[in-house]
Amino acid sequence: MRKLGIALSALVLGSSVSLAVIGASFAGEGKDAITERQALMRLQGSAAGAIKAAIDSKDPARLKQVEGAARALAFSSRAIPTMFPRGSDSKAGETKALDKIWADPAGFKKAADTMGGLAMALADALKGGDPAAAMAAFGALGKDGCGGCHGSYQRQQ
Amino acid sequence: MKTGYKAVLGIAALAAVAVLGAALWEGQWGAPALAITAAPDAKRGEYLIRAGGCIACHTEERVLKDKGPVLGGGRALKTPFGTFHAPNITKEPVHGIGKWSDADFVHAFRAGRAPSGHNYFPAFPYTSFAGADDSDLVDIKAYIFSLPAEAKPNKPHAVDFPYNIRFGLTFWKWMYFDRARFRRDETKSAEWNRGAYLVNHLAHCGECHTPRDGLGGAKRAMAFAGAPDIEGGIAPNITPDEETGIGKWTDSNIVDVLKTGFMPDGNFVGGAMTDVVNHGTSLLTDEDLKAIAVYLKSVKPVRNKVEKKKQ
Repeated sequence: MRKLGIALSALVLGSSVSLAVIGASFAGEGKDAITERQALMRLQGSAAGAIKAAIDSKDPARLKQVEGAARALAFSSRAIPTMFPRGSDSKAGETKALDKIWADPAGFKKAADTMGGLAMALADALKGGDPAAAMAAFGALGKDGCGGCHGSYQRQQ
Repeated sequence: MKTGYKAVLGIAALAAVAVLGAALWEGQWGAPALAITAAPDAKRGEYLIRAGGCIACHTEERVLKDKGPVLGGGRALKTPFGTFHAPNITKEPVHGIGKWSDADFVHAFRAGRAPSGHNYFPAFPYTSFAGADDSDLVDIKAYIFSLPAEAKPNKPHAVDFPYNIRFGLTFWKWMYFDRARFRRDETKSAEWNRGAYLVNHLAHCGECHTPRDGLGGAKRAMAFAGAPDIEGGIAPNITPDEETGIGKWTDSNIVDVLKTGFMPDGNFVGGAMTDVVNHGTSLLTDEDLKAIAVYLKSVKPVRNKVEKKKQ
C-alpha cells in the first residue's frame, strides 16, 4: 500500500513538471489555483513524511525505497512558480501566499529552484543508504528548501 | 480657592513621591557589579546566542539571506503597538555596544534598562531574558565582541502614541515585569529543568506563543497557548492540549520541527518561525531540543484555538 502511495505521488508530482516544462500551467485561475497548489503541497508534505519515516527507521533498504519520492519532490518544485498566476492572491480566496510572490517573482522562482536542488541532494543521500547523511540532507531541505519559500513568501498559519 | 490650591499642591507632592518611588524601585540607575569568577567563554557564547535567537532579530533579513555580517540591527518588528527596529549590538563603540561593560550587558537583560538609565521597550524580551544566568549572558557578550564591528547607525522606533512615552514603561514594568530568576524544580529531572530554562528564559518562546492583553502584558494563565498577530501571522498553541495544541505530538515531533521545520502533518513552518529554526533552534544539540520537548509536554494544556486577527 505504501509502495503504491509513493509510486502514485511520484507519478503526480512528476507529471506536474512535464506540464510545467512545456509551458502549460498545471493550475487553473484565481481560486482554483489556490485549491490546486494547496493540494500539490499536501502531496509534497506526504512525500516528505514518507521520506522522514524511512530516515527515522535507519534502514538502508527503506532509504533506497524513498529515493524516488525525493526526486519527485525535486521535479515538483518546478511546477510551483506556475501555480501562482496573477489574481490568485489573498483577494481571490483563503491563502497564506504573501503579496511578495507577485512583487518579487524572480526571488520566488529562485527559492523554488533552491528547493529542487536540495531535494535532489536528498535523493542522492537516500540512494547512498546512510541515515545520518540522509537526515542532514532532509534538514537542509526543510530549512533552506521548504523554509526558503515559507519563511519569506508565506504568512504563518 | 485656598483649599483648591492646597489640593493641587497635595496631588503634586503625591505625584513626586510616586515618581521618586518608581526611581528607587528600579534600583540603582547603573548596573550592579557581577559576581562571576570564571573568564568569559566566547565559544560557549557562540552556542548560547543561537538559543537566545539574537541573530535573527538583530540582523536585517536581506543581510541574513546574503550571509552578511550579523548583529548590525535594523530589522523591523511590527507589533500592535507600532514598529520597532532592532538596534546594532556589535562591538562598535558609537552605534553598537562597544562601550558596555559585562555588568552593563547583564543589567540590560536583568532590568530592561540601558547603561544610560532609560527603559527598554519590551519588544526586547527582557521579560524572559531576566531569568538567564549571569555566566550565559557574559559568554554571549564575549562571543558578540569576537565578531566584527559594524558602524551602522540605528533606525529609530516608530511606536504609536501613547506607547511611545518611555517613562510609561516604569509603570508597565511594575505591572508585568516580575524579574523572576530561573528557579530549579528539584523534584524534576535535570533534563526537564534544562528545558524549563531554555523555554522560559533563553529561547523566550512565550514572547511570541503566549497571548497578550491590551497593554502588551503576557496572559500568564494562557502560557504558550498561542497568539493571533505575530509579525503578520499567528503563533500556534504549543501547550499539550490535544485538540488545539500539540498534545498529539511526540517528543521527536517537537525535536524535528525545531531542527528542520518539519511538522508531523507533512507541513513545514513558515513566517517568522522559519528564522527561529534556521538561525536558532536548528543549531542546538539534540539534548537541548529534547529537553525543550520534555518541558513543553509538561506545561498546563490550554484549550485555545488561535484565529488570525481579521485585517
